[in-house]
Amino acid sequence: MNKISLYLFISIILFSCSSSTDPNDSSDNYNRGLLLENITGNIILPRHENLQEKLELLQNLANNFTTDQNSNTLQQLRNGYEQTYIAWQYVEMFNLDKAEEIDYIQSMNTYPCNTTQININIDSQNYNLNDANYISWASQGLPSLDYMLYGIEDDTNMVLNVYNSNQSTKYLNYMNDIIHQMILKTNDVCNYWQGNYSNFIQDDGNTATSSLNKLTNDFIYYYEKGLRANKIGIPCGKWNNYNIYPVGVEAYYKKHLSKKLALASLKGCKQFFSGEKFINETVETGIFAESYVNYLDYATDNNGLSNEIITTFNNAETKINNLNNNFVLQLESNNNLMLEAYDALQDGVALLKTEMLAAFKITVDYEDSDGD
Amino acid sequence: MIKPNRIYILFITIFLLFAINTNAQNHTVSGYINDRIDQNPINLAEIYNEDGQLLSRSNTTGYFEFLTKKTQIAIIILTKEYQVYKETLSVKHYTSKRILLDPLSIILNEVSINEKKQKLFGLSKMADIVGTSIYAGKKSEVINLEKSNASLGLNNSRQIYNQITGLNIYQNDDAGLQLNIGGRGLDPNRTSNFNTRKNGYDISADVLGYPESYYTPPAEALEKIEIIRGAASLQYGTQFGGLINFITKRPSDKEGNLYTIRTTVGSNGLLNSFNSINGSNQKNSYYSFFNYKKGDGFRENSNFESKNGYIHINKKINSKTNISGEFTILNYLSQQAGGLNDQMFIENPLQSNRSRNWFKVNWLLYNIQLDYKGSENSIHKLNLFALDAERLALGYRSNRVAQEDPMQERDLIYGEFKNYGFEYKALFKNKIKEINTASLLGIKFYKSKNKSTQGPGSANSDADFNFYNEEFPYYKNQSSYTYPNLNTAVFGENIFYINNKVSITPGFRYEYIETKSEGQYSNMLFDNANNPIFDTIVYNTNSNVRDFIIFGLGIAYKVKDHSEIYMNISQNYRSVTFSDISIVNPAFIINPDIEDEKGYTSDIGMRGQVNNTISYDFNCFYLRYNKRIGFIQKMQEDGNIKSERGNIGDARIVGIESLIDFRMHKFLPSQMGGNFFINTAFINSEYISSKENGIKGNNVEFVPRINLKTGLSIKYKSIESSIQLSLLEKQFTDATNAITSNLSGIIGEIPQYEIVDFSLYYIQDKFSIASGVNNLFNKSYFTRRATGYPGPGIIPSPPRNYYITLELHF
Repeated sequence: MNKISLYLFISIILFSCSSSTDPNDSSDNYNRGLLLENITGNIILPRHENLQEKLELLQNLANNFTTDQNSNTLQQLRNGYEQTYIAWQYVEMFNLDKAEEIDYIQSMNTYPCNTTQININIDSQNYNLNDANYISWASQGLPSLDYMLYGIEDDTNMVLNVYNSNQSTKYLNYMNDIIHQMILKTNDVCNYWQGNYSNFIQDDGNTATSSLNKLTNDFIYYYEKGLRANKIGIPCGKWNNYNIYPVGVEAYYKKHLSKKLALASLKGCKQFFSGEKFINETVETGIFAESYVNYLDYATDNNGLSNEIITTFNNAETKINNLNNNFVLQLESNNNLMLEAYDALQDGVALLKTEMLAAFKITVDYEDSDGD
Repeated sequence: MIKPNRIYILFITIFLLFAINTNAQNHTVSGYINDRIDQNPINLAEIYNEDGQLLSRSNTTGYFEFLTKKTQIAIIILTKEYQVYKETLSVKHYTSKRILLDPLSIILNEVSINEKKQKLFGLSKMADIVGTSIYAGKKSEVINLEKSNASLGLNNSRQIYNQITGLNIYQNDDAGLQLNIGGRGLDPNRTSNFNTRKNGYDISADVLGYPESYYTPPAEALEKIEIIRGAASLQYGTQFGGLINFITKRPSDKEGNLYTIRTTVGSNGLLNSFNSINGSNQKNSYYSFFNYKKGDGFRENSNFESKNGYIHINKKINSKTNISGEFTILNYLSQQAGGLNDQMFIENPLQSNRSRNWFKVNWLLYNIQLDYKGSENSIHKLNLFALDAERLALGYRSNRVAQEDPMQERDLIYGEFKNYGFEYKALFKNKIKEINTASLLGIKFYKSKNKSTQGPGSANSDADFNFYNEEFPYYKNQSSYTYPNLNTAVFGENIFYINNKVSITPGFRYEYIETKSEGQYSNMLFDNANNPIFDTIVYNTNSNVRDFIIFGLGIAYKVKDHSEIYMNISQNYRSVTFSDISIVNPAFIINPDIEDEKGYTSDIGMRGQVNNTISYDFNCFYLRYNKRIGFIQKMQEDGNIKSERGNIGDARIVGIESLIDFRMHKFLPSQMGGNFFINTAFINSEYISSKENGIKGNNVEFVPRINLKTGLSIKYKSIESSIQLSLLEKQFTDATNAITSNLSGIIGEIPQYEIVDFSLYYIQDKFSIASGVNNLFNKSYFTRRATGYPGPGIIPSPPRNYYITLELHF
């Protein structure tokens, strides 16, 4: 009796303690490192460097304008601003690591800008652009430059008059300061990517803090918030009983730029999804999410997800193309077209956030911001 | 990391320090043992020395005799039906000693002789039956605080619980204001995976809906702590971790008053004053304490002040009936220094950039207990209990922990907890044919109404716990909910003693639970620059009513007198909590089919003693934790995506736990004693299914694979010194098993840590001194990444700290 029960006891212990060693189900055999290499080397780095060049050019143009405030130098400066704003649209989605740490996105593109605070800053000449809060962010970056170049007075002549008034030094100082601040922060982020390129690629696991997880989450978050909500949803009053909110339009003071920016932003998302390389200001085929999805489609015998996503992007592009170049005018004339564009973008959110993430086996690391 | 060599050297040094051999002559000790009431001699009473060596047995005339080299000896007399007798004899009283034993009165818990013997070790197990509770076949652990070498004045849980296997402990304050322990891979946060009780009644905020323990009694007031693992679910209900029951000191049986005054001073301005009074007469007895704690904390912005009072009054109505009442009050206010991210922790682990975060707790507990012993074979116990408590948390709590505090409005959360109920238990002993049985039947009723309000607190820095809604109408997080809860349970267990070796204990528990939430939140929308654009109030009610029954079975097989094999399997559940069913943000929805987390625990093990020299408990467990509650992204009918809270996955945790406590008295000179223990848990965990992407196959968070505590204590005359090492391997803090962290410090691994504590005691009749050094090697470490309070982020653990306690009793 004793021996039997002891034997039974030991065998039960051995049985219940032998832990199974299943392979980790959170990985597939796809080489995530290759994706990361393409995205980092052929998109993130060149896109940031492109922005860096545009900003340097912008600074030169601002210097010219500072030396001689005439309609010609103003026009050149305004062109530089537009080029920079478009270049920015391909960068905003990479809100991770250094960029996240220094609040890069917020300080570059928080709109609507806070004109009251900007005027206070100009007047007092006493401000700290490194303050990490919304008041500070809303009084610097591209939206504030938009205001400085187009919004301080009603038309170009009146704007020029301000820069030729006895207050001109204060205005010029502030403008140069916010451009300088953009350059400093962009350099910081560029240096980070240049220095951490290989570390980033090597971190190819599947955890909440692995490179691909952060990139994918930030991409979807940008698509959902930076593009869908900020550029279209908030202005068209999606969450405010469809009461339009024109001041929420991006590049509100420049006016005819908003559609261009939204299209650039969508194009950036599409190129990111497809992994299209950005080389010498042109794009070439590459690999990223699209090929990953294709691979997984093939592996799971579930064709078509990447096609579906691309189709959704194209639909949204068509809907945005239907809009007026100036979203403010579109809101006032026919808000329904804005809502249609919103809905077309929303279709993409659904596919990216549920099906693509499920295929990638990646968890969402952020909470929805606007609570739709 | 400290080198193991250093530890060995330390151990050896301490050994040598005390290894002084003494020569002395033999003395004969002799005397008689009689019953105090009828004066009859007591036969076969066993006389032990303090180390548990059997010195002698009395004969039919009550006479005993033994030899000793000591000039002073502490003896313990154990025998059936009588209370334990302890006395320290000096050489002049060595002959013709007359000893009177008190018969066991009915008030006393029916503690087996076996358990008394086991008190020789710091840790013991529960007897099969204690009072109206059944523990046969379960894994039970009892910490005898009287034997503890822990720094009780600091309420240092790393030391107090050092012999409980597999515990993961958050260590982040100087005085143990909050207890954060988790066993078997369950989250330690506020001990919320244990069913937490004091003297048998609930003390957590809401046992089902908000099982967090903000109040746990100070170790100085405790006689023992009982821990029953997962198999406790049948008698106690919710939680996979099992039961933790704090047993406070009881009134002494001697007439007159006894006073204890304990004062501890320690590093960082720590002052802990613990004072108790204890007394009895023929019919009545009482025990009461008052505990005041105050300190500056080991980081800036972490001062605290705590006041805790307790009174227990006991009245013996007649020889069968006893009634007692208890009242507990706790108030504390502490400043919270906030969390860190990894970079900040590396730069300076003790820094703090949050100077306006405060936490306040007011806790009142009431309990009346009625005991009735119809006969030896029928015992009844009725507890009426109530809780009236509140908890307030105020502060700037950004996930960007490195960011400077903008000195604007702070977040304020007010929680109010009110509940009452009763629990009735009856135990009957019977004989069915030749089989002895003991049956336990119980019923519990519990009703609560809690409140939770969140909104803007002041923009100042002081501990002002008022809402400032008018000043800050656009504050993002505003909600107000009431949470009613109703629970009725019926439970039973039955021991069948098949023969004198084998017992089988089946049991069941039926639960009826209503968990509700009613309230509102502000749905506030902001544009990209944080300007409010929309503001509305959303009303919300949710109700989760269910009933179910769970079963369990325990088997014990007595191998020899002092060793048994035990095995058990019991179903477990963890109730849906209030936060599981209330929405404070429109981005979330709740799955209408959300239900309690369910699973089961199984243990198989062997425990016992060898020659009063080795005490051991070795077991395996398998814990299946199904229907874990979490979030998934779900598309709504209108095409929107929301985070849906529901039951999303199953996990399993398996482990081998063992405790070996070795008494070294036989190998040491006569005036010395010593213990060496080693406590290990090897745990393996896995998510076996999950609706969340990429989680299946991952490890469960907060589960170090290796959890080791080991210690050595050496005693020479009245001096005792002990040293212990705690080692926990690295652990993940999230289900994706992230190793690197992020800006908030909330996720990422907790690196392995190993901490050494040293303590020294000097004990005399009327006074004792305890002193020690915690974290002897001044290791920088952390045990916790908080998602919210008191962080968010890494909450650093204390650096090296010192204390000294003086205790007087008279």
